[in-house]
Amino acid sequence: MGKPDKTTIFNDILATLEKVSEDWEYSGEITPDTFLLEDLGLESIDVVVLGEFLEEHYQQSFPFTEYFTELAQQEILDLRISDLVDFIDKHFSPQNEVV
Amino acid sequence: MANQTPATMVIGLDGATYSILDPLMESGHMPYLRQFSAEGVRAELESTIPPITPPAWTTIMTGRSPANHGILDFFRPEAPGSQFLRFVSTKQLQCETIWSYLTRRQRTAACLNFPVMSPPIPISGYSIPGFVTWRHLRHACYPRDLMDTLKTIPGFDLKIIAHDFGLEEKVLAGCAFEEAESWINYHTYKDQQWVKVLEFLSGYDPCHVNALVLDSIDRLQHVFYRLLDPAFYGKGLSEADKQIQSILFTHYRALDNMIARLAEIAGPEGHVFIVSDHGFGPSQYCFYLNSLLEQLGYLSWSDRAISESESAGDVSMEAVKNHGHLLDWQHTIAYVNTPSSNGITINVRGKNSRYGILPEEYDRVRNQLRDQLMALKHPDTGQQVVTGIWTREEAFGGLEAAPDLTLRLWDNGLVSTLKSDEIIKPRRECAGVHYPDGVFMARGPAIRSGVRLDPLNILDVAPSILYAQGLAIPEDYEGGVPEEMIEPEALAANPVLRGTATQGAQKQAADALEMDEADMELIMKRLKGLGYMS
Ligand SMILES: [Zn+2]
Repeated sequence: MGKPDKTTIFNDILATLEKVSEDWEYSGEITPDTFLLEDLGLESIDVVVLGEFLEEHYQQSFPFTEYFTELAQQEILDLRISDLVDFIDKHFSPQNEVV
Repeated sequence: MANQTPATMVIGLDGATYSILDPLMESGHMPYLRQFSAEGVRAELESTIPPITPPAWTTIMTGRSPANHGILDFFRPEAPGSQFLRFVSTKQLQCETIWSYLTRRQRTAACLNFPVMSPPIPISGYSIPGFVTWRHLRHACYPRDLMDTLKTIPGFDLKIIAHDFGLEEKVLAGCAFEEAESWINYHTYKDQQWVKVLEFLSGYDPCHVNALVLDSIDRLQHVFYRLLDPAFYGKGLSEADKQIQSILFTHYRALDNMIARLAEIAGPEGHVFIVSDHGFGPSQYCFYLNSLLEQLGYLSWSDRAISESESAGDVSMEAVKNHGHLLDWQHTIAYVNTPSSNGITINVRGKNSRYGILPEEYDRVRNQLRDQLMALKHPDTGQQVVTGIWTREEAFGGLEAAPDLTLRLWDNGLVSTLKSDEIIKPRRECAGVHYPDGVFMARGPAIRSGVRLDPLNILDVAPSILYAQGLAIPEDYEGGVPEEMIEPEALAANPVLRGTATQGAQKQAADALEMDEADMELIMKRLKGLGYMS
């Protein structure tokens, strides 16, 4: 898989959310500024599972826990879809196989 | 049903222990269980090392020890050698589950609320895993549309059967009386919802093997062990504690009714097993092992680590999330990575770390650490703190991902990974922790009546389930069918047979679906009946 640009990553995240969110109580439009916890109502464990769906899509692993730990250390308690896009863009490297 | 073998019911009671169940049976709070035990066999059931939920249930599901099935803990490293953690999943599972094995033997199964069963593995039957939040439960079920079917059950509550991580963590950190009451009631309701799901499936599309884990009592015993074991509450209780105790007894009575209902589903010809993944017992102290490792010169805290007043002493996502930053990795040789494994990891340069000891120092350092731990004495009682210690080779057959040392503590407690000024501190209140001895009870036409067996091992559960289904026991199963539980006539008519080995985990998903045409036709018919296909 060639490296996707940020618009493609955003669309991939939207498509993944679309796929997994059938039971979620959220109906607003999702934009790059949507917060995962505050707006979508996710818990941190849900975000990790969402990350695992993205790993499946990209067929590579991403250091999601490390990232969330880093955020928590900086007392950042929420993240936007655009933060997730930046994170995936930064760590995109298909040789990191899914474990 | 393709095969007319009578149904088998496996009732999993997470953390069930005779030290609590026996007094409840005697005092009339669990009359059905008392009758069940009198009509069948019972034994203590020795758990895995260490006795924790995911490896132990996985052993029940695979007939294999953790060294072989590969599930060692609640957590796994995010990447090889990483100190950052994620929950274990079927992707780490190295062995075929009994659900897949049953599928290959033309049997259907419903496995409900078992840990480690997500993402789902296709089977001939139904799978709804435990430890999954409600937002992701739909995609963790098999078949894929199962959630839509379940939503047709009157009163079905997706949020209740799912795992609520936030709630469980909050309660472990301590709770007020009103919270305690609603939390206990929540667990009664949650167990009842799971029973309802199994009742529904058994009416809709009966399976040969039904298996359900009810996890309430593990959660309740962690917090309220002291109110449930007469050895503790016999010494007198406050009025507030008496009230909580009475709510707890009401829960166990409700649980007794649920067990009766589940046993009824198996029918008079069926066999019923009641098993736990581990036992339970009291723990009065918190043992800060990473702080000890610091004192011994193996570990260095980062400046982000602050001393904790008290650890919840259990699986807290918060503790795990922050853990990676608590240590100064450059100056750490040995550390405990998870709050649930009692396992020490040794950093070896070029192997699992950029820092740490040289490979040639490994044996010496590990032996030295082992001796130091075995020499540790409890500050209040003078007794030995570490009562058992296993190397990676001894406990896990040398498995790379396993801890270098795994400990058993004098009180069977789990260590804390956090920083503390004292190594061993009394807890504010006595907590419940996992003890190695769980419960095994069985009843059915081939089972002897009113017999107490010698202790069994958790490896014996999977073979027993397969025997009840008239199947041979795969030759790679590490336990066996306890023949002393079977009526001699039944055993003579149906001797225990050993069969071909199970298949690896990779093959199981593919093979489960690769059935001969007759089976496929039958499954299609069933799926049509369920409205999955037009
Ligand atoms: Zn358990």
